[in-house]
Amino acid sequence: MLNVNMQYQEQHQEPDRGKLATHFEWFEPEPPKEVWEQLDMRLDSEDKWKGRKRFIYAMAASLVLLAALSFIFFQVEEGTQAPVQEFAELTESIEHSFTPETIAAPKPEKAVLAEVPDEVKEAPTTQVENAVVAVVQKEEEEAFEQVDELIASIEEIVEAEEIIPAEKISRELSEEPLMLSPITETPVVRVADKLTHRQPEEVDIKATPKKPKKELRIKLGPLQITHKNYRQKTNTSRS
Amino acid sequence: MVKVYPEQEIIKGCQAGERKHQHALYERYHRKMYGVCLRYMTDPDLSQDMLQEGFFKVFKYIKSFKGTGSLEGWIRRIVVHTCVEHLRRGKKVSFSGLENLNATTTELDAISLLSHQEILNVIQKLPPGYRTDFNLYVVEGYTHPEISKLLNISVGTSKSQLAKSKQHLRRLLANSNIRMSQHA
Repeated sequence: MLNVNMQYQEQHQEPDRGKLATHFEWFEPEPPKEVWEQLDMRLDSEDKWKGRKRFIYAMAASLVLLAALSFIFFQVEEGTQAPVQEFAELTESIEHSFTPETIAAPKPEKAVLAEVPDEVKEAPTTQVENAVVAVVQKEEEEAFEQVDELIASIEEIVEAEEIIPAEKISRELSEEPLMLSPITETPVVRVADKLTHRQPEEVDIKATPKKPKKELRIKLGPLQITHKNYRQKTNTSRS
Repeated sequence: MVKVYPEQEIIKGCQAGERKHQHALYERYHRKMYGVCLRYMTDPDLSQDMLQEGFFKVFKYIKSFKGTGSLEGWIRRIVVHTCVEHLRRGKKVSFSGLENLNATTTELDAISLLSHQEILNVIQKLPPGYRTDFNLYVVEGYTHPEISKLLNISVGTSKSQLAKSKQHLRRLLANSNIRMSQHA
């Protein structure tokens, strides 16, 4: 009922709306065929343009993808090259530092084991360590004692000799050639005897030719200095 | 000879961009749409241009056609809008303000008795502004608010245009020796 009233009102208010629609329902004039031909050509060009657009988009997308891939590739390559270079440098430095001259020949394992007493071999690890430490300390003390004795003997020799001024030595050195072989024999023999623990009576000092005093001073001069340095060094290291 | 396809197949083919289906759609509706264009455009060449432009839009936007309404109505709307847009762009439509006109339906009663070719000749003699409003309202069945929105004018102006077009038709019919009394 409500719809009927509304339809009536609409028709009453707008009686002419769509009045002639039916008159043109069968009005179908024929347009020229050129209309479709032109439309067909237009659609063709539109399709071609769409194809070109797709091609351009595909090219652009592939370029972007290529750029992204190359960027990622170079990033990865840079990241991997840095550690490789560092490793190469490290290897080179190790090769330079560990030459055959710098590397001491390792002691054979059998020789090392032969030096170790049997009770030490069978003892627990801590005892082995303690024994090793004790042996090393003992050897060190002995070595120091020997060095001290050697230094004392050298000092005695030095005190017994006359000290020649340095100016005279330098002048004589410039005038005369050095005769090192007879000068150095005596102290060298003495030092060697101390190191090899030979008894004094075994060394025939008198048998060796006597050396000129001045030449002896030349050799002993640096030894005094060496002795002092050695003491300083030993004191600091022990403290 | 263009093969006849079912409407759903034509729609799907056009949506896929198939040329044979586009041609089939054109063959099915191009005459009716040309009649629509002729009512809005006085020049036949311009009507053909509008027909081509309208169908180009149909093929372009047919992917958005959901199939809820009739295909013919959808195509007709596109063609009408194309014509109106062209008239608006060319500023060939002039609209005057609302005047106090006592328009009656007698002119339309008289004109409805004419053949569609005679009606078309009469409509094409109307000024562009009147003709557009008359076509949209009397033939297409648009409401005044719809016309005002389409032509970007007020509802009152649309009503005024319709009244003026009826008065113009009366004069045209009088000059054509078509007497309303003859048809009464």
